[in-house]
Amino acid sequence: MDAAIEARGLVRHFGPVPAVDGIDLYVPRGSVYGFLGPNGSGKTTTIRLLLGLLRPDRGSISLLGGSPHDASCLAQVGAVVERPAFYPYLSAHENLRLFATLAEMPSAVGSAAADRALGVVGLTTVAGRKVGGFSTGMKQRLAVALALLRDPTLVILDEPTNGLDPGGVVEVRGLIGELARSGRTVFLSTHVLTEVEQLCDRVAVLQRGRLVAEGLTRELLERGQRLAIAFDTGDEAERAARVLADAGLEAEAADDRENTLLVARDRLGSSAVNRLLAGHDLYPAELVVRRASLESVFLELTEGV
Amino acid sequence: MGSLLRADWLRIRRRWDVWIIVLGIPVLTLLAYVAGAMSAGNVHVFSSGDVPPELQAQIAAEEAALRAFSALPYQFPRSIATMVEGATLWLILGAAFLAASMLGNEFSWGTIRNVALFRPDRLRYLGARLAWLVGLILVTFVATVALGAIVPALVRVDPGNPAALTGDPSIRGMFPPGPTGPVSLGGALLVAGSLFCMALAGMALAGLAALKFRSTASGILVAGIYAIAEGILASLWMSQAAGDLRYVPQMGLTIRLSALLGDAQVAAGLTTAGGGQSSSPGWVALPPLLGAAIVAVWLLGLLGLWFVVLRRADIDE
Repeated sequence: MDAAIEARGLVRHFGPVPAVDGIDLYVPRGSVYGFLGPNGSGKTTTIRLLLGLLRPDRGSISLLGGSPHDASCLAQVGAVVERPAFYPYLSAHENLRLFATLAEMPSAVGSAAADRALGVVGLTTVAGRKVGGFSTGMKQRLAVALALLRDPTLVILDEPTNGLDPGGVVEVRGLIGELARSGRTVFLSTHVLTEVEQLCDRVAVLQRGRLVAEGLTRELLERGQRLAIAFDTGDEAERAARVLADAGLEAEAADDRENTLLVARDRLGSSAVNRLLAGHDLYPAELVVRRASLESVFLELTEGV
Repeated sequence: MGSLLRADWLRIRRRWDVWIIVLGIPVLTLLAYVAGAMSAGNVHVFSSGDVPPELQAQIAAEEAALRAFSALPYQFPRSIATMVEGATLWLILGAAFLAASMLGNEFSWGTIRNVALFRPDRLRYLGARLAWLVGLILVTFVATVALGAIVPALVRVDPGNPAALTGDPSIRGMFPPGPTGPVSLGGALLVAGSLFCMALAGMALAGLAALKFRSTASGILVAGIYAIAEGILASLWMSQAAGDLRYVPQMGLTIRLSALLGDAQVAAGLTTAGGGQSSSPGWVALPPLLGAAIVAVWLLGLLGLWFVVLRRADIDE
């Protein structure tokens, strides 16, 4: 599949500290790609490298097949990077028109594009107000509008729902969904894991400047699935834990239910576990697959590193 | 480049601080000029008691000479030099503020990031910004020069009796040494041009500091500190150094600029001696053209560094 973003061996130090330490990324065109990591893991630095705002110490970056320093390439990219930044003494519309002018749009086209982008993020009624008086949420919406100004093929969003009220979060989430359905590639960096779970078909997890997991969101969630095996008595549960341990499966007691063991599902399926236990005269009262949340997978991946 | 210039216009036209500087400096200078011109003819030599007739004639001659001397700066075309010299500090500070503000604010507001995403060719962006800065400073300058040319027709100053300035050696001795005759238009414009170079240097220095330290305040502060430090170090050096080493401090930017102004004033016939540090021990006068070339090298070097700094800068705002 053609790549919207391809990065190889990206390294960037700030002083002796590696903020990004050998990252490889492959973001297919048309995908919604989640980029996760705790604070300080290097997400924003990676995004800045991808956009050409920072220069890597090592490694290569291809953005829509071109260089991030190439104007024609960046013209197809819309980005929200960290906190919104605008000229406070200009109105929302004037800010967007200014950037449309920078993008060499004719005046009428730029003005129309600004109107359209403001409409998409619901800022039409305050288009004439100076941005200096905007709330954080309004500035965040304006940042999204700026990202959409050039009708981009690739949209890079760094914490786009930061500072938004719940209604705004739902709207921006809906907007990201619409962008994805329109065939655009969306690269979404966020702390809100439910957002990634709902929207992203691929996900990468970053920790201390390194990728610790990358793949389809579905596969990552499957990796975190557990089998919950409930027994009628504590004695049965203890025996079952020993049988499973002998078979090389680590079982832990569930916190939320008595006489219940949790076993990772990635090595043996439900039926195989059931057969193994039955072979030792152990018959679970209940055996269910517990779907992992992205949050639990994320914590598991990032805490151990 | 056209779109960059247009985008800058959209930014600049709404910045009241820019227009206060660009329009305020000529207006303030005009007010100071008019105040000076109106008091220029107000010259009296006071005497008490009965004055003998021969002394009355002497007093009248001195008054005529004083009136002529105080009116000299307000006669066209010398009025141009007077107007621009009156605006010197404001012009330099204004140019420094414009540069530091128009470059530093992009970093403090974080808008440099959006600019870099919309126009990754940073050098062109900076080129457009530089063109606007020079243009705005030029507008301020031209307005000040034009006012200097026009005002003598509107605010008339009694020219007194210029012949009285040179007629009597005893009266001539009352005034500072130097030419007291008329100044040519070219001479006045030469002085104005050297002051324009000073304003450009203020812009270049403050702009570079603002780009390097990424803030308006730092830009102005660092430029000011540099100018003061260079003056102190050069004075120390000149008083200690011998041989060819005496030339080293005279390569400094602020020293060269004040020497440039001094040379221009001498060439225009406003004075006979250069200003600035030319009276300091260890001062070695350089040929005016060589001095001007050193200033040009400084300006080009500082502006070149603008581009080097921004081209290599990480945009982490």
